Amino acid sequence: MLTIRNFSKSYKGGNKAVDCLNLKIDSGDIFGFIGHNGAGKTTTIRSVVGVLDFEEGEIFINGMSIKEKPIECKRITAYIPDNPDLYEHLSGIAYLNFIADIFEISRSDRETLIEKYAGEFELMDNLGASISSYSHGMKQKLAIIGALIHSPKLLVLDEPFVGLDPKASHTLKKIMAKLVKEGSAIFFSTHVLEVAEKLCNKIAIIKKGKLVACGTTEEVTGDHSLEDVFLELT
Amino acid sequence: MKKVIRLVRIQLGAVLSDMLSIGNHRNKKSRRGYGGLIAFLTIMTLIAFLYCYMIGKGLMIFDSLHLLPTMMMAVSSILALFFIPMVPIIFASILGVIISFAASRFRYRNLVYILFSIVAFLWMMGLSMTVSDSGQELVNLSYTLTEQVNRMYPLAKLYTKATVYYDGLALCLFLLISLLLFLAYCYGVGKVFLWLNTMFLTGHTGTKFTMGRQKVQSPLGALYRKELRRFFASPVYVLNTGFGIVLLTFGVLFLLLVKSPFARILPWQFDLNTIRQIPELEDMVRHSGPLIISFCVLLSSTTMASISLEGNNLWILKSLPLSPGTIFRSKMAVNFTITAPALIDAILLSILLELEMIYGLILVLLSIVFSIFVAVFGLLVNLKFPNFSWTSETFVIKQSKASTISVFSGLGIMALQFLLQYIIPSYEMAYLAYLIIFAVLDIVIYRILMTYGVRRFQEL
Repeated sequence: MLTIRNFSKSYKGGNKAVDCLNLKIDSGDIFGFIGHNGAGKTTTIRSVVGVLDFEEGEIFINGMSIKEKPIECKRITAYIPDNPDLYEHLSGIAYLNFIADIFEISRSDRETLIEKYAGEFELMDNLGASISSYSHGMKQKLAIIGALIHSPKLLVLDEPFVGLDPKASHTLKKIMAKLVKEGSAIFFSTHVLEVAEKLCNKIAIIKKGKLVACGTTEEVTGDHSLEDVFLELT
Repeated sequence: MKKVIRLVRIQLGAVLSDMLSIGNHRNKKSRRGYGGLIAFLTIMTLIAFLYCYMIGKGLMIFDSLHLLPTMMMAVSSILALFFIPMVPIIFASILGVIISFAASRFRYRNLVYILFSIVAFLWMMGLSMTVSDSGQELVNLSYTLTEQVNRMYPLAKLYTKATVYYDGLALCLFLLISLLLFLAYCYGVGKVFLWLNTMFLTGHTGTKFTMGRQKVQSPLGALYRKELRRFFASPVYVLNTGFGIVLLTFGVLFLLLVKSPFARILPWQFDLNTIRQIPELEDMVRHSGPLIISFCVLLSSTTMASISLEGNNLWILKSLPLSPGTIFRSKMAVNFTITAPALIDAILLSILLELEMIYGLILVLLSIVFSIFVAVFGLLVNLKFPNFSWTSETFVIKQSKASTISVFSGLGIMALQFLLQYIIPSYEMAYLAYLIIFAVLDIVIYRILMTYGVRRFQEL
């Protein structure tokens, strides 16, 4: 579903954020991407979803290059950033309708899905309110509903559990498990190693832009905990 | 005093970036209490003083050369200059508070705020245009204006006495009244500032949402709607980019009213006969029609800030399956919506002034060509000079590189219009040449936008 091949990204001043990264995420995978702050996780994620331009390497989504066919790639991808900055001038429902309109989702489908996910995340009552009045967690929930509304084949999340209350975190984990069961792939970064260890079937550890470990969770951890492996490698 | 000076220093940067954006209550949360308010108003006074200085300095030099002033005149003029903005700022601040307070009672508070601001501005314009007696007063314009100002603002009379007639008592009174009112206002508002701020922020409360029938739109329609909401959500954006068109429309409506049979029965204070009998009025409007329309449209570029205003939300547009071209078209469509009344105004002007067919057509076509120009040019400039790290949208709309270039380009374009009128003796031919030049420019800039602009957007 997602192939990252020899991907490198440098910022102004020659600072290399990611150096020759290779990753492969298949349908049905929940792929955890772990690393310290500034290791290159967000840079990789933003490049995958087409938010950040890059010069070196290739990124393929469902066999299509994000460079050559960005619109087709984005049509089957959903992205949730680490900080959900949403349109504060819109109401929650207006934002969801905006996303649904862009993905050309029919009226009945959007009404069903909004009701379903807003109900699960307990946001239904607040959908009529302006996003500017939302808390960080509510914005995060709205961003997640917006990402799920078009049933993406690839879900890319940057620190999705930050700001979520325990119940919403549990709901999200359940939805993630259900999505991969239906054939989607999930690629997400996290600092919560316990969550990654329990939730992911594959894990990659990145250090200063370079991949230091990658494989199934069992392969990466072996007989140790993910925390021990992570601390040893980084 | 030390506390006040420290607050002045701390708040200088913040105030400079969001000056006159009265609607942004959230940013002013911290400016609490008497000291904070003095600091805030002192900065506003200093900024207003800069404007006074820029205008007043020229007049003072002129006076000095012609009147050979005494020391008393020089001292009183310079001293009074510092105190001139104090009381007007209090009035402006009270007006801003009233408008913000009234708007906060409504669900669509920003829209109501914008409407109140426009009504207040037009009311003040109408008040200042009120001529009490006959056309004789128009002859002595300066006298009339002085009388008008004195009547509207009695402190001006004291200022005139102090600086023109060297009245020491008037000078002392002017300085004392200005300072006392300023301090009293700061003290009074400082006492109720927290309460006022709470009142602004606790206006309309939302009701529990229930899912109804949702409206479905095309992607371009959804983008357009989102952009339009963004525009009307920001009073600073609307008042700075939409006012040219509002003024033009009210001007044309005024002309329509003056020329209509209803003009005789309306209980207004304008002397219609005087206005009608100004010999070159119609001729002036006829010859300057394109100039007036192009000026008002050139002030109405919403696109010059529309990329920057995406700010931290840019990730949404960039991660959605949208081509940059579609995003650009939605932003331009909003600009066309804002400048669309100029087209109706041009048609109405052509009919009202009974213009010849060719001239009327030029007027209408110019309004279209300029609407396209401000949209494409503004967008291109903003793509070249974006700013996503703003903390106050006022900075992007009023003080950014893109908005400055946009405004100064507009002035350059007006200069070109004068130049063409100077080179080409026939008005019709000059405007026709102008029309062709800008029609070609529209096409060229649109092409650049769809090539370089698209690449640039991908790099952002």
